[in-house]
Amino acid sequence: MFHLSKNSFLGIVFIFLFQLVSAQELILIDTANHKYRKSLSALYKKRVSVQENVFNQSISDRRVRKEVIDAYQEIAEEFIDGIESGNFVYEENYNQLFEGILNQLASANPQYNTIGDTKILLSYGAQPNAYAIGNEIVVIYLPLIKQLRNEYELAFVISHEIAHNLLNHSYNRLVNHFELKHSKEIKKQTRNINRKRYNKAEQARGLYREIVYGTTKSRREHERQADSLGFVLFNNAFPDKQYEVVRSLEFLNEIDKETDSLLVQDYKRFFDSENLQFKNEWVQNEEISRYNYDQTQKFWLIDSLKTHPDSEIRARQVQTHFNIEEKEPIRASETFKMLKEASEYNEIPGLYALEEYGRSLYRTLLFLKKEPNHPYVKQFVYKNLVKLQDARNSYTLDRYLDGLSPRHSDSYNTFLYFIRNLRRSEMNALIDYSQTL
Amino acid sequence: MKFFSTLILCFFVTTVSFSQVQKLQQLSSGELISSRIIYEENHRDVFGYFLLYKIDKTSSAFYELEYVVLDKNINKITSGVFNQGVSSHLGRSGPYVSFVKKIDEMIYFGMYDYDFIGYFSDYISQHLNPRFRTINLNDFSISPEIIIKDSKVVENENVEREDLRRRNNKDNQMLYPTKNDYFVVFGGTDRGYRHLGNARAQLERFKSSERKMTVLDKNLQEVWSVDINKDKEKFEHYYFDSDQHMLIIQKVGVGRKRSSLMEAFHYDIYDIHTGKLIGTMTNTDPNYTWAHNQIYYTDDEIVFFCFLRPKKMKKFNSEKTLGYVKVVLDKATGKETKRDYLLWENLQPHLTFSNKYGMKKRYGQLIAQEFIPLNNGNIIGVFEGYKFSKNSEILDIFIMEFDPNMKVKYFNKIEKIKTKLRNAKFSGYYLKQNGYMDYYYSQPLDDDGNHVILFSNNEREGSRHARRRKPDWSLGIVTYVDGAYNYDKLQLTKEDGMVLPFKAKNGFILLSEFSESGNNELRLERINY
Repeated sequence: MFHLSKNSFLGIVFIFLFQLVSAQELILIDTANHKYRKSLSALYKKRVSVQENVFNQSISDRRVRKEVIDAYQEIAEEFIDGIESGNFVYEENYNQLFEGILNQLASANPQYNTIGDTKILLSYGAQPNAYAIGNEIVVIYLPLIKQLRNEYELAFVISHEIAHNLLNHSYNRLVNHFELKHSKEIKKQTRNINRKRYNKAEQARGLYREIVYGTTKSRREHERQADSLGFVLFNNAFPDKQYEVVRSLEFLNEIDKETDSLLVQDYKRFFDSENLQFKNEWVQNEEISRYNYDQTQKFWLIDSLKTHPDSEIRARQVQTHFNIEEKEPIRASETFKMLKEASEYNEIPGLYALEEYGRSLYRTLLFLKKEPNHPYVKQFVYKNLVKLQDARNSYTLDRYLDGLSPRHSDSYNTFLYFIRNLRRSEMNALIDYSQTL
Repeated sequence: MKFFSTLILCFFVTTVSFSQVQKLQQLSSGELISSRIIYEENHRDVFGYFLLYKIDKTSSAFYELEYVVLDKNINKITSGVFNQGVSSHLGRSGPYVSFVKKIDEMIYFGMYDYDFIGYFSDYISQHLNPRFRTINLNDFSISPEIIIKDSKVVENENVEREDLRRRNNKDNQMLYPTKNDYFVVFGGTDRGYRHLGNARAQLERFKSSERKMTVLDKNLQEVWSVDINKDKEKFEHYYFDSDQHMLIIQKVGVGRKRSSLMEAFHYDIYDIHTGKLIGTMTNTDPNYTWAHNQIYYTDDEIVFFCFLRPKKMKKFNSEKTLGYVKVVLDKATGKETKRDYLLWENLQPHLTFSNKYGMKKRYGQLIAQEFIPLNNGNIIGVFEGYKFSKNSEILDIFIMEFDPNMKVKYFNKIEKIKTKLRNAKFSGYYLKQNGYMDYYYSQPLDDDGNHVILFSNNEREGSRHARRRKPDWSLGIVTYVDGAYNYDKLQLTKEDGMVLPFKAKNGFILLSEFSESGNNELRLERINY
């Protein structure tokens, strides 16, 4: 048998991929791959059934067991709905990247023999995110690939999520949830509070806070465990790339930050036409800036509510615990760069498929700012505007277009203000014009 | 359709749903006791929303309350808790909000002890231990409880149970917010409400003994004041309305001269900045008696729209009105500059009536819901049809546009399925005032003089029982944009739920959708124009 060294394996996968796809070729995701959905659904159902048996055998309390299984079935149904509605997509290039990383992790960590069974799913999503749901399934959101800087950061994300699965975190959380619900002590304390005549809410708040903080603390502990085991898995597979783990954890702080914005001249470039002159007032507003929002902590202590420790703290913990030396950042391979770029334009139909028409349009405009003549992306100006107009006609625009919020960037709020405040005739003119783009 | 009078927002005090301790969460979260729209200072648009929750009862007379202030896009600006003492009237009362007013960075909100028994009318209830607080939107602090005594501000730092006794707060004065940066206070009487006796007589006795009207600025300092009820004169004085420059006070006679508030046609018009009495508006019509209907302002004018009734008819009867009169006063002088009549017969040929009171054969009558001034000087009149009978009926909506001389320029009847009120012989005025009619509200769409008019309609056909048991509500949306009318409809009754519309910032509507499956959502939707 021919053995590849651990490091060269991933490299060869990337070279292979690079040969498959030339730089000019678009990597487009088939959004209607019913065969993939069918096979994924069958696989998932099979794994759910196995897990139900595990719950049946391992949970002794009858009530807890029933509620855990009921809740688990509900979660599973939702996940299957997601599969059937096309949230999870298959594309050969992405899949080869995932498989390459997974094979390397599996062969370097033979003590965890279920790693090889892991199924990594690519999902449309609005956020750069990843999660593990048990059942040896890890989900990677497309926008995450767009944001990560090289394949090793992705490999650590996958290692972290596999660690969650190996440590049964999602199952344990479900069981703990229902054990807490049936806790005699909690019930007794709640009864006592309910009997009180005065200050009932104050005492209930105290106990409630204690429970919520306890749960979130436990979730933060899970994250630490997954960081730790994830690092071990990663390090076994990519021993000289340790510092990429620290860098990827540090990067989590910035991953949501917008790196580009739409300016008045951008709107003019997209929407100023002979039939409809762009009006500056369309993008001039004080809807958020005129308010002063209270940032002080009220009922909850935000730090105690966090389900994840601060990423900076996580990075330092991993670095200290595993004594990781700082190294120069690794440049992404050409293949990863290509998939990263592909994720940027595939995110747009992804958001469209998720019916996030507002976000899809915003991303489209940001993309076209850089590449005004992109043949694939241009059509989504028209497609999203039509959907938004349909929603407006039925008074359901709010479902597909975010509301203005102090949490959003100024650029995104201005975009939302622009779309929300257009008159019907103006919107129609924009739709007509966008067909000609 | 009777929409909720308060805005019920699904805005939870706590933010984390945690099902295993649902009971604990219920115990620790609040019960919404009041919600109000906060308007911009000039009342032309919505600034945000104010919600008040009852969180806890901390002792026999004290509650812990939580306020939440939202912006016009439903984002939380601030929230906080405070302790509030509540006096006991006839055994049961609770804290309630009388007004919410914004001036610059301050939110002022008034509170009173709501009378659960219903002995006092809502209006009188507001005089039960009136007090208020301010929320500073710069530093997000809330003030201690503030009361007004002798037209001066008193801060109640530590309210004790004893302070809540009626005898200790009966002299507290109401604070009336205006549609500018001022407040009005009536005072100078030591006659508080008694707990028993005729409530209306109590109000008359109390109001007619007031001796002073004071206008306070945003710092609650006196700007000016006038003596009232001097030289044996006896009137009940009420804050009636205001705009950026005017303050209008209604005077109601007492004793034999007593009349209902709408019949009493005597208004003093003040310059709100200086206190100068600009003019007085009384019924000077030789042919008709006026009853108040609506007031609005233009840059230079005050416009009264009044019901017209025969001169000899003493009591107002909405079924015996002859139409409306528009009376225009010059803001600078307070003098009448124009008067135009809209008699029912003037609506011909669009509508033909069988008598001078606007009775339409085999139909019923019309009542004006609102007159909306347009930038070109024209006026939109929104009317609603009704039938005054043993089983009163709510009929169609009529949209009319009048020129400045009240000549009809546009007319459209929007047919609705009639609603029959069983064993309810209600007058048009009663139906309108008590929310039985389907007209909802009108609102500017923008600053360009465009408007939206909203009303509801139960489109279910069939018997009364069928319509009530399985209603099919829709929201009628009429837009007036660039001189053109457009008619749209939004289905409110869903297969497994219901949509409730609420007022939102100009150009938008807030839709609260409930469904049996528990998928509730609050949406801020653009009016589609």
